[in-house]
Amino acid sequence: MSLDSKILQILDSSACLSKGQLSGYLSRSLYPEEVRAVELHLSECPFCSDALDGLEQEQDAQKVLGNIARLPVLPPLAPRESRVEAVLDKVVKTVSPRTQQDAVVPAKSNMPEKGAAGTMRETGTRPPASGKWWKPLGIAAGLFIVIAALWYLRPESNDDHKPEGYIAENRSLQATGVQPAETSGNTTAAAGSQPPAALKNTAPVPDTGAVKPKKTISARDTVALKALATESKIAVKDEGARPAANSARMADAVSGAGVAETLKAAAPAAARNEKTEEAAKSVADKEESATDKKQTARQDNKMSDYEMGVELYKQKQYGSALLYLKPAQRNAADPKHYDAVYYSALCYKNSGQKKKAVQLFKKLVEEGAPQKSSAQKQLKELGED
Amino acid sequence: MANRQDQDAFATLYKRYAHLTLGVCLKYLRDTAASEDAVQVIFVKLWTDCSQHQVRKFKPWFYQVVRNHCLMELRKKNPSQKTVAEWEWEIVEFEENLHHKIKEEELLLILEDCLRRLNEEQKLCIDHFYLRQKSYSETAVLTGFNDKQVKSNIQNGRRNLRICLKQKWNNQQNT
Repeated sequence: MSLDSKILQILDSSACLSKGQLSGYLSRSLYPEEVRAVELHLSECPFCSDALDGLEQEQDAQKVLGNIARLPVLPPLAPRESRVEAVLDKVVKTVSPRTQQDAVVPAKSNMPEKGAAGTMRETGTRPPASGKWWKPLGIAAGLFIVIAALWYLRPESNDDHKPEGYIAENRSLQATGVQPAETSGNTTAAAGSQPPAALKNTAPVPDTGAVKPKKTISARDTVALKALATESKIAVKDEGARPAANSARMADAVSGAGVAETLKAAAPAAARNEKTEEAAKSVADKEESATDKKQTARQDNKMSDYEMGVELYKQKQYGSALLYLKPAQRNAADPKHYDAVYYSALCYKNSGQKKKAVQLFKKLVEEGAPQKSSAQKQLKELGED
Repeated sequence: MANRQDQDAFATLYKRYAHLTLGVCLKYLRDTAASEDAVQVIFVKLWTDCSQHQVRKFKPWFYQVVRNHCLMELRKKNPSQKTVAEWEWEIVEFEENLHHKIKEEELLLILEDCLRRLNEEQKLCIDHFYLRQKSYSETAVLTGFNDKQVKSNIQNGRRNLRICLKQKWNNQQNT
């Protein structure tokens, strides 16, 4: 420290001694630096110096200092004009610095105790409780922003955030290999009046394998699908026990027309509608279990199985053809029963199972089937009479 | 009911000055119980009458209030008691605004001149305490004074320096 700064210490001023400083100085428990600071302040503050003199007179100064911890009981202040004027002066003092010198309350000083005087001044100028309502408002605004951010950043692929109808629609579309309706373009187009008419461009059932599934559907189809999804939701609420049937109806809307295309040669319109329903039901069952789906498809798609059997026979896949022809072959009431028996016999014949082929040809002859003459020719070829 | 903020401010003042008030009361009244009562009375009076006074500097004002209360109590017992010299208000205010009025180089020159004008006892104590950075007890050992004499010499010498500074400042302003 230079000599100049040491001389200027004579004019320095510092904060009044705290109770701890006073107590420590009296008990001589302060560090030398703290003692120096206390003595520098004592040299310039008669208040603290007098206080120290008084406490040094007291034998048990520490105990006396410990007794002044409590605030005195303050009497209630009656509203008086002077207090009102004091408050007004505080307000005026903050507005006009020129009036600060004449303020009634303690002014902010350059002395060390400016904290105390400043506290009085600041408490006087602070608007009473005006800032309290900002706290809940700020908290509410923060919560709103957090919720909005979470909603905005939610995972797009999560179906839980989407409406129930949208989920059902997507499931049915995924089952048939069709993209969701959002990708199909114009969703504001007018809705199709009838689902079958609206679903001319929809994909067929994958089980048939005859027609490749289409990737997109038209806007009209989308609207129809949405209507069906809503309808199915209501039905689930009402019945509760038949979700598969409802999903089958939706699948019917998607894939029924495609199945009908495969059967367009022979089946009548009513039968086609029935078959499309059954095909759709098989799609719904497929969602639940793969094995159940296959069995259901075989049972419900007799005609398609027969056709498949014929197709496979033409492709010389006799083993597979026999599997598809078997249902119609065993069911005597089936309109394609004798056809199925005939083609099965041909499959057996071409696959080298002569006994079974002869057995089936004989059956056709005995029962007088339309294929009786052809069966007789085959029997002759096989060396049977 | 008073404003809560006023109560907080009052609590701050009490925390900052209650122990000092007690010390001053002990110095004048020389009685612990009377001093503790005096502290309570002074702060209650501060709470009720603060708005009736014009207070520029709280600490000198409050020190004066405490001393006046103690002297009033002493006069009740001994009416012939003389009043103690009051705080030098003008000097205090002058000192607080000194840095706005005088440049540092000029202030140092004036201070050195004023130091030479102090009596030997005060000059010696101030030299040891401020310029040689000695404590009260060290100064007492080095000068041969007791602690109270050292303290008194330092405080009086400091007060004389401030008076000298103000006089020189006024002379400069007049010339």
